[in-house]
Amino acid sequence: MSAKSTELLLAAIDSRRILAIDGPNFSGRSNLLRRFCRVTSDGRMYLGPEVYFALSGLTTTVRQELELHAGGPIDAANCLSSAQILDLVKLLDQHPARLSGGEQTCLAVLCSMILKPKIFAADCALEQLDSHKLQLVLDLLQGPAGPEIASVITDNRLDEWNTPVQTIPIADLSPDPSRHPPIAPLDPPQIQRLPAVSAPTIELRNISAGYAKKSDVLTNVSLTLTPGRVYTLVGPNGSGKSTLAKILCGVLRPTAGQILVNGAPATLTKTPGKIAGYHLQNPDVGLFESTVAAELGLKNSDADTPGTAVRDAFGLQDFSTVNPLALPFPIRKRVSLAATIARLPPWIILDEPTLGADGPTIAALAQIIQSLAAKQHGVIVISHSKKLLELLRGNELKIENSHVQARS
Amino acid sequence: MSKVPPAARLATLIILVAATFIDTRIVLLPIVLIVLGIFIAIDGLFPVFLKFLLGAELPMTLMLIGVWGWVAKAPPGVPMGTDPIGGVRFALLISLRLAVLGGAFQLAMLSIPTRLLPATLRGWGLRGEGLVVALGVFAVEPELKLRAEQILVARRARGLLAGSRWAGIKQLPYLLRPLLVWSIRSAVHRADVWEQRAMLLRVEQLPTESNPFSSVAGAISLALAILWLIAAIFFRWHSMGIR
Repeated sequence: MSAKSTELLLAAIDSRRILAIDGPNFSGRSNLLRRFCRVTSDGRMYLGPEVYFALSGLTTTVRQELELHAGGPIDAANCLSSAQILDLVKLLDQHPARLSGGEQTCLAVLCSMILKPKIFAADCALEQLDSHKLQLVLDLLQGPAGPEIASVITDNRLDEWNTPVQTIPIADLSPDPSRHPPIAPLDPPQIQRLPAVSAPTIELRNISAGYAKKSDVLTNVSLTLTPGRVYTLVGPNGSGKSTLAKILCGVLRPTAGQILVNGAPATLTKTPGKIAGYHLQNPDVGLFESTVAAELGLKNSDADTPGTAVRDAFGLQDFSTVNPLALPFPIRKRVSLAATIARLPPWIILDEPTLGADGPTIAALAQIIQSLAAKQHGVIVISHSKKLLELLRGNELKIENSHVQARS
Repeated sequence: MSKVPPAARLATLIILVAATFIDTRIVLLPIVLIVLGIFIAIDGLFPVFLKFLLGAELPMTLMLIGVWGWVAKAPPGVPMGTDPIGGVRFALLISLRLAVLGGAFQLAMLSIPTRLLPATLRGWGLRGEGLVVALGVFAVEPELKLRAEQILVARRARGLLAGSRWAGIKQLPYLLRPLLVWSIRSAVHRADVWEQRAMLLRVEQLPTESNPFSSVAGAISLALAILWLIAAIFFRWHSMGIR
């Protein structure tokens, strides 16, 4: 990435309030934005896909975090109105790390805006937002509380945005694509190598669940999940999608109600991850091993095992001996997805599998998910990506106001 | 708002020091513990203190009683098997002393309201990197706990860990590595963010908190603590045969 690229970007911003850089994964978008924002003296601010790292790490409540950025009480600092718009006021006493991905994004964006940057760069950071929150954030960025000059954004959901923004192809800014080595694409047909499974039917009866500070995340939820199908779980940020996923995979005990597996009452928390494996939204908390092969449970990288089939499906052949945490975000996401699927849990729950994924990757991911359902896995996909949801055409489970509505 | 004035926090620290002087007057330690308990209850920290007593203090007390009262049957420096009552007494002394230290620490530090932490620390004269380190000390425990929870959830979610508490304890080696890696990555990322956002400057600009506490209450707390310290030293000297 040459210095000329950053100059080209600066020229491209011109008088636009929001400029989006369009391009596929590994085209150099992230490198360009990071390099662009390294000029600290010029009021440029970078927010990457790992939004949590953009917070100070010194505070234990959202209010504290806002006050630290504002340099005083948030009421006096005039950021309360923006917090209200982004629905953060009800979260003021929560620990920033306990927020959902979308809520953390809103907080990170607001903290950035409090510091009044001249140029704000969001590198795939807005992908965790639901469409409503995305609109609110874009309005904030374009309004008087936004950056002084402009926002530069990379996002794989640009075509889903309701707000039309000026777009510039990465090729116009980075004329030397050969400097980015090619990364193997996803290879969905490899999933055919996996054996078929016999997943059970899961029935939830009047399930309620919550946490210490929010006890009514889910109320009286009843639904039946049949294997061999793809379910899409949708709803606003913080509505309880991940909570439902945690109940299904057995890491959270419901406060009320009953779970039936193939018609028999079951306590999923006794055998977490065995009936349903759950890929968490943040890939980094789900990577434990020192190599990708170990992460996928591969003892022999050449044998034709489910692990190698999944590895090949996710295009990870070249990374077997690499530490997963040393890889770029989109590849870490792939490793984390593959590690969940490679254990062949009967039910597979994928939380925001498209984070950091470009259009072709999303299309291939949809094929992989459908192939897993064809192998009689039950698959539940939590996503805000309209593209993925349209490709899957799954049975929709919509969470709103603590309730779940099923729609075929 | 915390009801315990800063002077009382200082007083508890003096009590803490004094408690280490007490050697033989075991009866005084429960009295200190009761006084501390009242302070702790006033400050709304009793559930935390009770958790400490039941979760850490009680098992350790039972273990010490087992070791000195049942196995050694004598306190240190006395021939084994000759004084089981003395062994139990020694175990209780150690346990009570630790309970006082734990309570004093909780009262001195945890009673600072989270919301006022940066301002209070600045009010105590901490500045610049020292302030950041002090704030970090308070933030690191909840954050590491949270991250450890997330890692355990992720391991359970992938079917790598059974649901029982014992299974969770067995996972400790698997927990430490990702926790360490995450801490280092977090530090590297945040160093960039801090530089880019000039956070050190922002911490410096935090307003200091005016002292909302009664100076009379503070003076009384301090006086009592100093008296206690003198008494503790006297008893210690007395027990050592110094007249």
